[in-house]
Amino acid sequence: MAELTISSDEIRSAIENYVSSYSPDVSREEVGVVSDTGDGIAHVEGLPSVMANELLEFPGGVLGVALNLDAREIGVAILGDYETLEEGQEVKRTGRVLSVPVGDGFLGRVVNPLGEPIDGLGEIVADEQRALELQAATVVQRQPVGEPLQTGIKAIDSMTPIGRGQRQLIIGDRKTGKTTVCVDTIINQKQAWATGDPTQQVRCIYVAIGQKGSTIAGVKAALEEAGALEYTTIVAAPASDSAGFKWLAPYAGSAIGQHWMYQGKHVLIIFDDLTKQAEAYRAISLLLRRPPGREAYPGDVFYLHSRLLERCAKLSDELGAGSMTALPIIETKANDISAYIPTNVISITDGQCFLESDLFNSGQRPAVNVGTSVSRVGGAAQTKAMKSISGTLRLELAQFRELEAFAAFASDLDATSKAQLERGSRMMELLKQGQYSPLPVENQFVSIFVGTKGYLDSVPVADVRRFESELLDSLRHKNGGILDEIRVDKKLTDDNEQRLIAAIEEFKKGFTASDGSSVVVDDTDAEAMDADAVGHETVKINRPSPKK
Amino acid sequence: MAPVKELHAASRAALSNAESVLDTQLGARTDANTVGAELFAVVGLLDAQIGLRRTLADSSTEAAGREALATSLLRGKVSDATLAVVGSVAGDRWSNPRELVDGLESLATTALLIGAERAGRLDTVEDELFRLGRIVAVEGALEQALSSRTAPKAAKVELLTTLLGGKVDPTTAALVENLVTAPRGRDVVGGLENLAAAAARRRERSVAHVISAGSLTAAQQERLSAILQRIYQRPIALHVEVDETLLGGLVIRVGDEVIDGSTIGRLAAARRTLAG
Repeated sequence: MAELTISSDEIRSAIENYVSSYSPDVSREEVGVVSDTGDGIAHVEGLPSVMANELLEFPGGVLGVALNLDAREIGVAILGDYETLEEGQEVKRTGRVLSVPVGDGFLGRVVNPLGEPIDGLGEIVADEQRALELQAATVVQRQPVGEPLQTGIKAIDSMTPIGRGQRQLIIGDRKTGKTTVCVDTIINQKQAWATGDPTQQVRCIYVAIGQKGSTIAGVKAALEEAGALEYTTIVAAPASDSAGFKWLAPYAGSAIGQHWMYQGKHVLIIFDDLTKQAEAYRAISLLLRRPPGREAYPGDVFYLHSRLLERCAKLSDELGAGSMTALPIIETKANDISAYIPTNVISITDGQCFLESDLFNSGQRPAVNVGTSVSRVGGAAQTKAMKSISGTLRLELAQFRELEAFAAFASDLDATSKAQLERGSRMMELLKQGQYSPLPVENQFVSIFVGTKGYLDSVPVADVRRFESELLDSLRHKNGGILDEIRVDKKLTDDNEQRLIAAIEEFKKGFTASDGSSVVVDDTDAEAMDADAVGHETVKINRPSPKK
Repeated sequence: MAPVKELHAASRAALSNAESVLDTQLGARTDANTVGAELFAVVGLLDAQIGLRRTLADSSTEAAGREALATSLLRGKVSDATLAVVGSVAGDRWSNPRELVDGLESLATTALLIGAERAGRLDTVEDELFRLGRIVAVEGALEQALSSRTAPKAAKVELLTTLLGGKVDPTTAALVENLVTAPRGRDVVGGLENLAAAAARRRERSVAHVISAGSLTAAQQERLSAILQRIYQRPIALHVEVDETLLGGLVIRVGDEVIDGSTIGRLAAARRTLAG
């Protein structure tokens, strides 16, 4: 029996023939068949040239993302209504890897994660299509964060300031005011938007993931009322949407924002919230039979969040100096920030604002826990004015919180501790703020100035907020010049400072506390008394007579 | 072709039933090559028609109904032997639809190998498959060309014909052509290795490994060979080894079966009976 031998030359020439005679038929449409479907996942047989993350089209216009490319079939996550799918249906390739339309037409609109408008206001004219999985900016394409992003919330801007290009995590239990913090931040950009200056304007994107429809409608109404909707895009994947939409919504919002960022504009993006995105991704991965890890999340849940948040950056001047700031929201259970997803996202972001339910319930709103909240950008993101007065504020308040717990039991404290307690409680009262009422930076400055320099020490704690609002009113009406100068110069000159102090003193004279007393500390010198009017102590000695 | 060990238990039982049906059907007059080619065609049909595949593998329905469906669809289009095999496959219980089709493919390969065995060319086929597997493993460009999923089948068949035309047995050519045009999720090198292993297993069925305590005379070997041929209904070649620890008697292994007639084996059995 002769051995089978084929020489290398023969092989080479045969392959050359084969390659030259076979030219891939570009126009030939590849068609696959659904082999099984259910729960938002479909398996498709055929379609050998499909790409990873490619969009596939099912009958009825339903789209799906090809996630698992196995040897014999493709695992597809359905984006949309999966109940119309049946076994045996034909599936076509779209040739498009996941991408969304982007452009200025999206401002003021509400869209779904595929970029389709859902607010009933007509078609959106897009500038271009942007792929969702583009790499984030490299190290050399970035520069350090230096400009502040004003949230308008005193507690945050003074102690954990946020810069343009930073990622600041808003973390807390349910119903602790996380969404309110973010909506207030959006509303606070109105002043900057009105200036028309592109270096000051901030475009906002609010990504709602798994939220109730009523909540999203409430946010939209609040933004509309405050006039903030004209520079905001809402990307909505409400709780009724399939898991595929909830998983993609943050990436879609990020793509819209990156388009503006690379044009040199400033963007603020809010992910509300990322826990629901992780849960949706977990559902998809488990249905696709990917191995579960800790808490049943798939192994790449960290990468899910890290590649999303790394896209937020401050770009170098060569690339236009644009920025994208992210405020991701994570919901904890029972204030446990050491669970899996919270620890993941804390290690990715540049700081966190921890909102505590105890503080919220005791009336301290925004319920920012001073001790555990931090901003890794810190003073570089504050105006000089704010930096000068809020330098040690965080530490002082942290110390106050510890002393407060101790003082509940001790009745007899020394004067220093008492003073610290008094000052601390007035500062905490000062940091309370109403919903949907962000303060411009000059107002914040005056507010903190008044607190840290001790002008509130004579005001009863219950009157502190009234004092603050009336002081700001009076400054705006009578001495508006001071506020404008602080806003424009962004720092306090000596002259300004003197005028400010004078204005405060004058206001204090006219202010009455709720119990009717004045808040002016009477510091007039006491007159010396006459020497003979001063009473002397006398000692009477009772010496009994000696016994005879 | 999926090696038998990849199938689940129910599928393995169904496959062995079908193999015995195939053996019976492939009598002296039936052309094994035709049956093999037709079975490959049925595999292609089931791969394309998901609904049909599911229905035939649905063990919750009546077996007679499934068998009737399969035979009614194929009657007149395939030979009676193929029809009988497909009917047996459809009527049996398989673990899942994919394994039903894998089993059919295994039966098709077996049919072609039986054809080669009958023509006395099984050794050649096994050798050619093995060498082809080595050649493709070494030549990366060839492996890529043959494993391409997007190239048209005609182009790949033409490439094979150019390389192998006239150099290999028709059975080898048929097996390799099926592997390349309907990969069903396998890679080419692995598939060729599996085919060579299947051919080797088939050949092993006709080899008896005999271990005896002392050497056997020629007359004894002839007698043993005749007995084995009577038992297995086909010529069995003998490979004899000597192992003195047996103390006496023979241990005979044919394929998967072992006949233990050694003294030491019988002593062990007696020990077990006493102990039990």
